[in-house]
Amino acid sequence: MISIHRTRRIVPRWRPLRSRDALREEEPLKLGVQTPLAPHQQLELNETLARWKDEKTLGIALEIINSASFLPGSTELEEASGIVLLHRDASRAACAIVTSAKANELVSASTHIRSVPEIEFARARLRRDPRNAFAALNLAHAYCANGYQTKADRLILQALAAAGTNRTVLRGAARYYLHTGEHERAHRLLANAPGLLKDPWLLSGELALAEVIGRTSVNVKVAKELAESQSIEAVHRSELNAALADLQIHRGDYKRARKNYLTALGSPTENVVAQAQFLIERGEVTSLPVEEAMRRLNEAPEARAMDALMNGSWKIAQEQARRWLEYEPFSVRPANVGFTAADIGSQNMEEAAFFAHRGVRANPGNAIQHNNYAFALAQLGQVSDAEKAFEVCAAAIAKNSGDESDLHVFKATAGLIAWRNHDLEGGRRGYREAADYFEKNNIKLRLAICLARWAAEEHRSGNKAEAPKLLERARTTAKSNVRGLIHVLLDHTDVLVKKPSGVPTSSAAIAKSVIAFPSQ
Amino acid sequence: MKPSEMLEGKILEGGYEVRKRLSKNPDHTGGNFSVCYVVHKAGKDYFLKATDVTFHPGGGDQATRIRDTMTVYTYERDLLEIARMHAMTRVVRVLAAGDVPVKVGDPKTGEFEIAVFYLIFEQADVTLRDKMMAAIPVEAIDKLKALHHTAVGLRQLHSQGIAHQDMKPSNVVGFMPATGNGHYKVADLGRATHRDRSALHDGLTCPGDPRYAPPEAIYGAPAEGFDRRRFGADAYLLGSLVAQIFTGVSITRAIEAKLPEAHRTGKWNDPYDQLLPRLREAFDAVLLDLRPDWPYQKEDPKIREELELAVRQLCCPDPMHRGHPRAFGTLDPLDLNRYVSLFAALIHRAEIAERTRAMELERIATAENSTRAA
Repeated sequence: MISIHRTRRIVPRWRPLRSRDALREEEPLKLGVQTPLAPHQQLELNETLARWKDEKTLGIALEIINSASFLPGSTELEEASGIVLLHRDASRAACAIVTSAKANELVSASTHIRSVPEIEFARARLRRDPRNAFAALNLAHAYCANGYQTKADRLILQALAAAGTNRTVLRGAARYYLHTGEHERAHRLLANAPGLLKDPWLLSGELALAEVIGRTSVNVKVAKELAESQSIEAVHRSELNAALADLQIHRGDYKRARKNYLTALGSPTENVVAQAQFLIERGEVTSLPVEEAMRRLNEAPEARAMDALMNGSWKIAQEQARRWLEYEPFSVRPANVGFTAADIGSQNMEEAAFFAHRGVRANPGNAIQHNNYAFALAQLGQVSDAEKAFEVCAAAIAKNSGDESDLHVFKATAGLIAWRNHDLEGGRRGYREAADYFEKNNIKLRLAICLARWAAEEHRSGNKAEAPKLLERARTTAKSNVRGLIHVLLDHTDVLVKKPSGVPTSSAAIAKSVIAFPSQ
Repeated sequence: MKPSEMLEGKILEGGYEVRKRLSKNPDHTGGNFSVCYVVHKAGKDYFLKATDVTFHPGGGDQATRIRDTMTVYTYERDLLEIARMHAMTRVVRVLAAGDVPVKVGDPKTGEFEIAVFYLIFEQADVTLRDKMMAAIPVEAIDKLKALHHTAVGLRQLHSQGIAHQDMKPSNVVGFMPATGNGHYKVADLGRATHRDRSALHDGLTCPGDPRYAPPEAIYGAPAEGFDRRRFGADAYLLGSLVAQIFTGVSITRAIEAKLPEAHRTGKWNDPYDQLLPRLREAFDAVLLDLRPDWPYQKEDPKIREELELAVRQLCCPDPMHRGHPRAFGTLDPLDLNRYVSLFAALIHRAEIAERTRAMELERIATAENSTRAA
């Protein structure tokens, strides 16, 4: 069952170390200047360079490499690097400097069946240096991605204890608390940060999190001043401008919001581009140069995945969702986007199962993710696995606990599983119960999806009379001037229902329906 | 020509005859604004370092220049005197100090005398830098001995409240007698400072060589307190020397190479606490890079473990957590005694490892001979 996000705020990003550089949040707000060597140190360096002309030995090459910061782009440095690489006595550490190679880190060769390489890697680093705040943050990230939230909790505290004033640690921890539903705590963390009023990254997070908990930050005035500060590079102020614009949108000041977004998109982060794109989709801001901003960024998986999803480029949407998932594996949003593109768009249930599985792995307490996984497995014909994946949802149905609308989504999936177990009546009962509830409560989108799925199952079991009726009912329910993802699903079901039985679904027909999907 | 450059041929107090001026940077006992010579007395060569008021690095009026030059000279002389008084066996010895008048100007238009201040040291045969730059490889056990002597030298200075602050291979000098074992000493107190007496360079965030200095110094955020700031820098420099002696690269350079461009010195201008977690990450990666380069890996893996641990403790990018963890709660958290003992113990282990290696080689040679004979 699809669940694309309906609200979005410019909350801090939290990524593992290797992919964090693209965020640029760790870069200095102000650039410094290299202090030259003292005269006697320069003399020593000059003497080394003079000796280098006469004797190109490894020892002198290493001396030059040690002085590399003071010899930018010099030919001597290049030559010395060449000697180090070629010399058989050169140390591995020296070669690593020259080639910028990373050590082949050996982690404990765990044979545990559930051993996760990222976890083993981060644990090894933390074992070597328990005060390594980024290693603790990375380990928490890896635990979150694999659903071990209680373990992540301790590590977040460890990271905060080791480097509680660091911007990246604070933003990562705030994002973690947001993920775990401790919204107040997330906000408090940033609101009490010592460098808050001087740091646009912290301030933008604080503004957004204040909105999440239904308050308005007390730092809006300072934020406005900082957002205009010319002494800080534009990219560092981008998220702050966007956060201020979001505040203005909530107050109905669309004109100022647009102006702030234009500034933010001048030198944007991928978070800002994703947010601007979201607001355009919602129609809250218009005519923003989002595509141009997106083109300028190397990495913008969220924005690109959403863009591809909305334009019917299912494959790109799935690729970008995979990348987004690499960065934010703990979040259900990339999993949902990938799942939707695979399930509704390209009807690739193996891909859908992959995304749903990642959603379950990171959020084992989220029953909707279990439902998605069970749905994808049932569609693939792996009924026993689907039943196993559905256990959490089945328990929720049995206890009648949780959101009632979600419970009826589970009932529809229970119907699908029953159907695939050749229990046609059980399957119809599940779909009917769900459809009746959605109709009674006027939940149109879920009703249309439920009816379309039901129609597909009726068709599969040879009930040619019932399937078109259900599909027509779904079409009437989903009738709208704006074409949405539900219409793609209906088109696919339509192709399936209208084709003669035994003939496989034409990929050209699906492709046509994809191409016909207009950009919104 | 500066007055200090005109000493050749002069006979100094005590009978030292100034002979050859050392043309290139003769950093054996420091080249901080000075000229160096070889001096001779009773059939033996010594090393002389001379300075005068014209060597003042900054601007200011004449009075300030004279005062500063005098301060720098007397400060170093007094520290060397403390070292001599306390019989610091691993700190280079000053044998004489004084001044000599030198006539400058044109004899036709008028000459005047300027005092040249000098320090005479025992003459070293080699610096650790020379040894590292030479094509002939140094035995690992000799490297451990050099580290042990350097650690002893620093500990001796620390025991009298003196921080060296500029420990690098060119400031470790070797004395290699024709007979007996060679030994190393710590040289150049030109950037040193005393706990109870402030030096002219105390205000500098990075008093030593920035190519080797601890990260907090090159990023302009020195630690609070004399011990953490000054002794902490020495601890880092000793740790960096441990790495450099075995790999040829300083920890400062190795860490920098691991950082993204925007985090490097000269680019970074934000508070140090924003950079510190990244530095810790980079430092951890550097220690992994160093692993294959430690000596005696096959014969005694414990030596690698101990050396890596020593570098991890001594070169921690956070100056507040530098040093041996068991010393944290003590009055002397940067006590180098533990490392002196460690290097001494490692020398013993290395001797055993050398013997094991020799025996292994002998066994292989015997086996080869017997195969050939058969």
